[in-house]
Order: sequence, then structure tokens, then C-alpha cells
Amino acid sequence: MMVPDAHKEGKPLVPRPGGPAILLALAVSLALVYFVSGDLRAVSVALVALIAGAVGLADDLRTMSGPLKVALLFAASLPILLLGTYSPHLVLPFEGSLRLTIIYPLLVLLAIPITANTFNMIDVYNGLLTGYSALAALPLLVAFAVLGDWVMLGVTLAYEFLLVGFYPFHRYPSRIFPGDSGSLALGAAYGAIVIVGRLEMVGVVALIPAILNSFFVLSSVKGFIEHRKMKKRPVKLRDDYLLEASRDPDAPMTLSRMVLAGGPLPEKEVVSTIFVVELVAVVLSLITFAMMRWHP
Amino acid sequence: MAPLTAKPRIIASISLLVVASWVILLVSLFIINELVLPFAAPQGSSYDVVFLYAIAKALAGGLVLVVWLYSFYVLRDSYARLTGLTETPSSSASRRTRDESRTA
Repeated sequence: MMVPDAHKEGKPLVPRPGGPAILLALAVSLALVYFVSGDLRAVSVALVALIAGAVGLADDLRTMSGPLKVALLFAASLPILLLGTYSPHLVLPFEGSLRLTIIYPLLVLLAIPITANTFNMIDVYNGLLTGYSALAALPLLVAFAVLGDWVMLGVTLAYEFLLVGFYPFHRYPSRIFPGDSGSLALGAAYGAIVIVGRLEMVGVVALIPAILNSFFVLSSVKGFIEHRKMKKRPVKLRDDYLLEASRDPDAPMTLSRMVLAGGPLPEKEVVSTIFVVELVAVVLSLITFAMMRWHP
Repeated sequence: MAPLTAKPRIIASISLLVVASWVILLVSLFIINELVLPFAAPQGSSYDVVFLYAIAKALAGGLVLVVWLYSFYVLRDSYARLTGLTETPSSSASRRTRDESRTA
């Protein structure tokens, strides 16, 4: 399918979705990790990504309602629960681990739709989703290397290399869009990696800018609404193709609207600003990991 | 190029928002661990009492996390005021409600 890139002069047509290519690369590389290690955690991550990607592909082909998409994404959590590749011991900064035998599976069920939608909601500009995901995976790579968890390091490297390979095609000016199949698969895979790798808090902190974005949008529109169906746009495109924050008090607050609070910017400047903010979250995530390792 | 000179200020403001959110998360986790989790039924209590304590702990833990999420509203409104972007939907809605009740 070809879709117009709305933020460019002449609205050039760009192929979408790139999600199937992302899913294929992830499935092949994680199958390789499984055949080498025999560790079911690699299978869990692959299945979670495939189910979420399938939901996204259905949405790419025929737009689904927000609540239906969220409901279907609960199914993406099931491989982790059915394969038993989680540990109900949540590792917290300073505190050692917290046993959550009953609550943890429920948290797993919620976590995958949340991370998938969080990634989906930042996929608004050229290169933002893939660049952001690649940055957010950096603290996981460091943490798995420090912990000596070579299987999860392999899984995360597969995720990172996939993004590094896709980014040159997705960055400004995009030659392909990942679509919902790509964004939901990447978000669900990220959620699965932090759950089966027991780095939940590191992952949460690395995603704070995206979590803030999702929360602001959801609290502004009061529910799960497709971004295509938002009545008030948070950002406007000017005639000179600079992006400008909406001054409408009823427009949703988003990360990009916050970035544009200082004045109009070109699309790639908005993306690079969000990358800098994400780097701050990456540093905080590494500090959080150090706190998790330190038990007084 | 006024917009580009504003960029470092915007990066600093949003980064401050992220750091504040991180600090509030750590404090929330600390409160859960130090105040909520040690809250346990006395030794030898009946199953009903142990169950009620467990429910109370879950509710208290949930409440702390709700407070963390609520802090996002506060951070968002603070950011909007700091940057002079606009009044946010929640605050403008409450202002409209207040103004309408004044005129009524």
C-alpha cells in the first residue's frame, strides 16, 4: 500500500506497512537464538511480537477501533504466561526482589498491550519510532551484558540490529513506514524482553518519555481513540512545512506538542529533540539498573 | 532562527519533566516497600484477617501507583505554565466550569 506523507510538500506517497519485514527479521533471528540456546524466552518474545504484529497488520489493512485493538493485544501476552517464561519476583531499586505470585501474571497481561500502544502512539514522524526504540534498547543491552544473561543479550541484539537496519529507510525523509504492524510488534517485543529478562524497572524508566506521551494523550481524549480520528490535532502543519503546536486548549497534549512549545520546527528537528530527551531517560534507566544491583 | 534557539530550553524543560517523573516513581516504590509491604496480619490471625490485610495492602500499593500517575497531570500542567504553551485540557475545562458557574 502507498500512503501520503502528510508533513512533506506535495505529500509524496510512501509504502506502508514495513511491519511484515520487521516481523520476518525478528522471527528468523530469534529462531536462531532459540536453536543455539534452547531457551524458551526467545520463543516467547518472538510469539508476542508475531501476535501483536498480526493485530497491527489487520489494523493496517482495515482500521480497527481503539478498544478492539487493545482487547486483541491481550492475546499477545499469552505466550509468556503459557510458556511460563516469567518470574513473579519483581526486582526493585535498592529493595531486592518483590514476590508477586498472584498479581504478576495479571501485570504481564496488561504490560504487553501497554508497551505496544505506547510505541504505537509515538510513531508520528519519520524515523521517530525506530530511532526511539533503538535508543530505549541500549540500557537493556548493557544490563544483560553486566548480568551475563547471554541469551537475552542475543535476543536484544537481534532487536537492536533489526532497528539499526530499518532506521535508514524510516528516517527523514522516510522511504517506508512501519505501520501499526511494525509499531505494535516492536512495542510488544520490547515489553516481552523486559518481562522475560527480569528488567521491568529498567524498561519502564527507559520508556518514561513515551509513557508520558501516552498518558497525556489518553487523559486528553479520555479513552482509546485512533489518532486518525482525533477531532483536535495537537500539532499543525504550516504553509512553509514547519510544524507548530496547536494553541487550541482542547487539543491533546503530546510530546511533540511540548517540543513545539518553543516555536515552529521542521519535522526532523522535532524528532532529534525527542531523541535527546530519550537519551536522558536512557541515562536514568542505567542509574536505575545500578540501584537494582545495589542492596544495602 | 528564534525557534532553534528555543530548543535547548525546551530540551531542558522536558528532561526536567522526565527526571521528576523518575524521582516520583522511585519515591512511590520506596513507600510501597517501606510502608505498605511490612503491613501484615499478626501471627496466628485467622484466614479472614490475613485475607483482609492482603486486600488492604493491594489497595494501598495501588493507591501509591495512582498517585504516581496523578503526578503526570501535575507535571503536565507545570510544563504548560512553564513554557506558556497553553492551558491544558483538564485545567481549561475546570476553568470553563468555574467561569460558567460564576455567570450562572
